[in-house]
Amino acid sequence: METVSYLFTSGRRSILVEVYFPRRIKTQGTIFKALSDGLSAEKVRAYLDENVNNLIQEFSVYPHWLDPNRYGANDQYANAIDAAKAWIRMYSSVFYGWSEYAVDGVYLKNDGVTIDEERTQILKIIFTFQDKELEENALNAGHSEVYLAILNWILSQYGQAEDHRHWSDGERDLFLFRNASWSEARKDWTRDNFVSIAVSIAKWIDNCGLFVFGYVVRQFWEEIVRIHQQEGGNLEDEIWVSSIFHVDINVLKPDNS
Amino acid sequence: MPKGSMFATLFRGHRPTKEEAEKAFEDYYQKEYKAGRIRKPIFFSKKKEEIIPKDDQDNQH
Repeated sequence: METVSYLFTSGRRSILVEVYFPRRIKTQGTIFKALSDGLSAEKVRAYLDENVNNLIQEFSVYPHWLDPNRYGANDQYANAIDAAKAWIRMYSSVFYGWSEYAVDGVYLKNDGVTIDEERTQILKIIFTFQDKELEENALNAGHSEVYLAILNWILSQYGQAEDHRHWSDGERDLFLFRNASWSEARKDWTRDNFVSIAVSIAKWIDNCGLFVFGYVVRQFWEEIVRIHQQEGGNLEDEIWVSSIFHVDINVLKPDNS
Repeated sequence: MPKGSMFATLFRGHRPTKEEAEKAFEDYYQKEYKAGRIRKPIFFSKKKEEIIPKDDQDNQH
């Protein structure tokens, strides 16, 4: 009989996102279609492109989210719409599945007195970073730990002002300073590879944000607005999205070699 | 529009107008240009010919 073991693999820092909204039968079809279509990067790009003017208005506080030159490119564009569309064409899939559950929610309304209670639907998405080429390079060089340490570093730094560039030389130097006890060989490899790995991670984070706010949640609230306008349903007071940038995922995989 | 940055505007739950949003993007690209990260600032309303020298247009994506 063959021996099968589920092997422990090292933790990978990931982003856990949960979207909270009231559970309604009427919205289930839209939610499922948005999520299943979201598995296709082509369909996500098509939706984003179709809604580019609205996205520019809604994301005006984060213009870098729609800047195709953000990661060191220096291409020229006829106007800001063309630039945003170019960034949308750069979207690569970050979404490979979801969990969904419902809980009983109780909330104090804005009047500070009335209690609102309803069935709340929670959509859970875990985004896990993977860049196969960079990962293979790190493995072959014997520095996969550095690769994961850079991932941990970038995710732990997230939330700086817009000007902050996780892939800058300054950030690389800070990272090296933090790891001053490393061997010279490891530090040399870090000096050569930090920026390219950090750029890939930063692009992935931006793609996750664009997917959550520009695609998934946007389709949910579009449906709520449609029901409100066409069928007289209530608008929701709030839709909540929570994000945790410090979730470590250990995957156990079967090995029958 | 409430006083303060665009961030403060959204923080207070005010949806920016089209003009306010476009200004936010143009300000951002202007800043990128001044920092030397892009060759030309990017606008909404200007035509391609006005912001890109004709000789460079053949090299566009």
